[in-house]
Amino acid sequence: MATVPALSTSSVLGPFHLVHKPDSPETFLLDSGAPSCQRFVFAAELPDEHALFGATGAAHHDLVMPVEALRQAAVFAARHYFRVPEKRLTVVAEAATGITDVEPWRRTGHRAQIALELDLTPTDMVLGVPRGLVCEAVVSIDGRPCGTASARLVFLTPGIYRGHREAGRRQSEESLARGFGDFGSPGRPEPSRVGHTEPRHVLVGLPVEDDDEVLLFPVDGAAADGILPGEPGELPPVLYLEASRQAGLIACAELYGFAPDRSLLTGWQASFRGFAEPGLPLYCTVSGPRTDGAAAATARDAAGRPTTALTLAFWQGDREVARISASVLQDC
Amino acid sequence: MRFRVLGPVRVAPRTPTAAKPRAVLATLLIQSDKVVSTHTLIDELWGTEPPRTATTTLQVYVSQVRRVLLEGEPDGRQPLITRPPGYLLRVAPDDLDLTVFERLRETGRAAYARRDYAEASRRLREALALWTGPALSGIPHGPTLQTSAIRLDELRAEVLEQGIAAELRLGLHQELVGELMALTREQPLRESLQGHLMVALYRSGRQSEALAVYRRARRSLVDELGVEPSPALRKLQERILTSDPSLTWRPAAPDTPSRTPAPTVPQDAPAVRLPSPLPDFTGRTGELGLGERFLAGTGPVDSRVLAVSGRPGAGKTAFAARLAQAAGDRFPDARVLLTLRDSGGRALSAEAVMAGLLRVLEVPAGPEAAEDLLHARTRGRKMLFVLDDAVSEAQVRPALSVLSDSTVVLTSRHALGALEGVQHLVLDVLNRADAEALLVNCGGTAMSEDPASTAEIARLCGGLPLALRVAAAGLVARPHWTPAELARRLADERGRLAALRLGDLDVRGSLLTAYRDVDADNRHAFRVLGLAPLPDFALWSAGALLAADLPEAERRVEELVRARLLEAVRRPDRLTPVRYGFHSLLRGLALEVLAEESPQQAPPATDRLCRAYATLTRHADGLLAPGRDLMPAASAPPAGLDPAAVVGPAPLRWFQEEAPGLLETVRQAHRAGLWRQCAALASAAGGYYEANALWADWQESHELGLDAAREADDSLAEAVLLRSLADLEWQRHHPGAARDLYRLAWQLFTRSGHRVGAGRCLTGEADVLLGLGRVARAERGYARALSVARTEADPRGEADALRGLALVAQREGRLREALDRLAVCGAAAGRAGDERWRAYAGRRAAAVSALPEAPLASQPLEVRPGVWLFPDA
Repeated sequence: MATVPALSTSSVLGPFHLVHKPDSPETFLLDSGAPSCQRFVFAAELPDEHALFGATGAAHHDLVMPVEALRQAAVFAARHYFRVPEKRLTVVAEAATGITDVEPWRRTGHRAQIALELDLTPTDMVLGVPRGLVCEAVVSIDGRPCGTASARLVFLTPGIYRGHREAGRRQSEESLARGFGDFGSPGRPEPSRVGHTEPRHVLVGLPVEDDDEVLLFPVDGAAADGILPGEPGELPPVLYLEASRQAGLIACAELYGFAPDRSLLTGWQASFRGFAEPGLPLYCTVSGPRTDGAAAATARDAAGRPTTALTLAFWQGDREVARISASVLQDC
Repeated sequence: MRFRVLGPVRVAPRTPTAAKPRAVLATLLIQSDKVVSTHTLIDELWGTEPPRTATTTLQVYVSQVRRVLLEGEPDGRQPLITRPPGYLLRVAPDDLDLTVFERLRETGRAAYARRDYAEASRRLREALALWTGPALSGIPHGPTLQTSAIRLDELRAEVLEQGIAAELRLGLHQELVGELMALTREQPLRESLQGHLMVALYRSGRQSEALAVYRRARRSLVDELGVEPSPALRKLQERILTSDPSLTWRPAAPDTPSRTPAPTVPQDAPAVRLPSPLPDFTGRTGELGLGERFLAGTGPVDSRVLAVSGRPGAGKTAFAARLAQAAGDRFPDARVLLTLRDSGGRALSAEAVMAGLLRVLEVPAGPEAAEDLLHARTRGRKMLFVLDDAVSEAQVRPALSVLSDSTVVLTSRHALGALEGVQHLVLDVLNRADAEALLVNCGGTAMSEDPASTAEIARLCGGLPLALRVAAAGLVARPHWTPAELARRLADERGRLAALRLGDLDVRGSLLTAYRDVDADNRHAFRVLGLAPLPDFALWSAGALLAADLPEAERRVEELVRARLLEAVRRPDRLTPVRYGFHSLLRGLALEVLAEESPQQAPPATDRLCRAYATLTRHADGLLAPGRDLMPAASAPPAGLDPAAVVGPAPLRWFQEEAPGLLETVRQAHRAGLWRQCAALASAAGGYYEANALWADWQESHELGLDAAREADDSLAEAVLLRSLADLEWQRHHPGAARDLYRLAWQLFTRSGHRVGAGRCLTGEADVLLGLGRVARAERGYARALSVARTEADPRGEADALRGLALVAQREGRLREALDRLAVCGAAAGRAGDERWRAYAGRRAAAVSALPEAPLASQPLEVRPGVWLFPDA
């Protein structure tokens, strides 16, 4: 099992409501949890500007909102409704989000409402307390269902958590010493290539082009510190999503000619296989689908817009810490 | 077989899309169960010029391959393991086509060596059948794969040649000529194939062509390679030229002549009167199995009559015919289907049934009674009768008594429960998968290419086989339509039956016969119950619609259930364990005939239904949130409806079960112009919607209710609904809209002189301000609301305002004050009779007591029961 640390709170979302939907007389009366699926609704206003990067001029709302909403709601519910002890460390083993209808994600200038209908199902119950939580959500913007989000949380004892981290760091350090992941520094892309305006918001380097099927991107974990929400001394969990987006945009521009300012991540499924350790080089590999012909492997969605699937993996040395499937759409 | 290398490299269930991971996989497969070094793999992928990132990139590919491999491992065990200095892929012997090929090759060669040419041919052909193209194709080849591909192609050629040699020895020379000609054209320099072709032609009496083959082969060898044919081929040419007798194939000793078949004994032709089999009969696997066991005499009931019942259009006739068609072996003397209605759809009498049976059995009339004739004709014979579309037990009882030695499958709409010693089988609608399969089978590629629309059509047809067949046939008959277009047309419930008509296939007509078969009272009940809300309804709804007490309503609905015009669903875990509902097509029919035959019955029935719902909803809401709803009752409850008996002590469960019907009834009330009922009903449901955050239902019902209140010029109702809509916007965390609505509601309450309502609006607005962090203004609002509530003796309003004041105190760090206010809040909630609010006050007090002296402003707050506010961090 491998994961990223989960935060307790972040300012990404602004103020929001979380409503528990009672399904039985006792949950109605006492607002108590039960060791079974519990349903919630998350509600917030989407910010005028990007919650993390300010006035980027991005044409679309960012998937970071539903991902953070799901994570924060789940972490809170785990403690409050499922009685997971404070001493257990909450980690995310899998996470996914996707856009099912692009239209509501377009910024229109007015403050849109985002809502998540959440189902949280406890798993691996021991003495009435879950060791895991499966989270599923349907995302709506201004009342229109337009996306999904899901996650699988695991609640680890401190000992197991420490053991995982130490073993992972050791493996990474040993392989780094053997020369894995030593690609030099190919430079940084212009912010506009990743949908930003500020150079400090660029979290991936230019790709190393050694192979015709895989692009390697150095990921600047240190730069993410202070920009993305996270716990001190840890790589921010949102880094995976944002680095996937940035690397995906560059890859799609290079491989398929997508315009970065019109491209957006429409699907993202991550499986975390290990802890990314702060202070160690992190890099991301991106490969796209191939076809038999010479044409690039882009498909078209129902509206005729080009879209493509990408496979990403995050590495520290020879250790794969996250494996991601993503899709990018050029919205014209 | 999971892995294939004898052709394009493939792995089940999914092959990596990129070429290089496939090359990695192929290299590991060729050397499966052996360690392949990292260097070998890098050489294979990049040759002598690997990139700087070769090791890492290889790892990415290995990772991709591992992901693919894991998909096919049910136990989740990774077969590709790291084993210094590289990787090792574990493959079960039967999982790799190459391993199987090599095993078959060995077996075939061994058989050939012991002159078992038939076995050799079989094994070697099996080995060849594993090939799907050139070995290891579709991937770039490095040195390892290149060598392996050459070796494998050579092995294939060898197996092919040995297989042909075995078949020539079996005397299959004529069959082999065509194949050999094609092979020699592909590989003109392969002398062994040329030799086989020469032999095959010679043995087929085509000596000159055999010699021409030699000439062509020699020309190719000389032109291409500058060499003469091998001595073996030259020798073969000589033997053909001299008609060497040893070259002639000698068959084995002739087979023992087969025994002359016994002369057939002429028999009476059996009577078979069955409809043609439906080529696209679909599904019913379980029911057919049960039917077959019945016909075989191994069913659960020792019986000779199978009574198949089901609603009109369920496919009873097709099902029974299918059983009979497949039972020829068991019933050699007769298999007959007799329809028990005349051409005008009228039921045959018992005597006519008997006469019909004699007619189909071609029994000439005689002086004896029909019973005697039929008995004599069927006695001791193995006969199967399908008596189709029976209307009553009395209609078939005489025939069943006469057919005492025969097996009978009886079909009817309602179960003929009064028949003795009968095995019953109910045909329901098709399940989703079978319904979609039937559409595809009947509708062709258009259906199969649009699975989403096909699924929607299946749903709209309610899985009814007749409707599905008509829908599919309609699409075939109108090739310019798409499944999506058909689904769109069927989506309108009132036009659905009209859309399901094609030639003599008429779903409406079929359903209508069932309607016409019941008496006038039940036809009335069927029509009026069409107004009952979807998806199902409780008995009290039927009572309201029929203006009947519960026993009478139950008698009516049960008769409709027996006539298959209505469905009863038993759900023991529900508050109302038996609920009733229509098949979607029958509901459409009910509404059609209501509009055609007695439209004047609709408005009063709808009014009664609305009043019943309003009465029960207000009662349930009063238990759930006492004093919440400020809307006065709009109308008197229907006579005989006892809310306490219906809702019982479980208002939440009642709401959970009735919520879909409740919303549907709000819509109906609005459509019918029952303005006050509509507004009152929406308002009464508000507490349940709020507690469960059912935003979509909340919004729709309240917008309809608000419109109705305005139509009725009822400003108090308007204020009540606006305040609830403000609560909705507050819960949605839409502060601007919530504040506007609270203010609007406050104005209307004030104008109506309703101070309690106005005071509660102040609390709502204060909640908005608190959420925006304007704590001082929020506190003033709560204080004003508290003053109004105390003046007006509104304990619920008082508890609500005190809740807000306690939240303010907590946010300001005045924890002692917060606890005091929560104590008073709990007491007020107790006076209001609201246990949920009392529990909330207690819970909040416990949470405040556990806080540190200086609580963080960013901590989540349970601002209303079950609603948490997460302030900006």
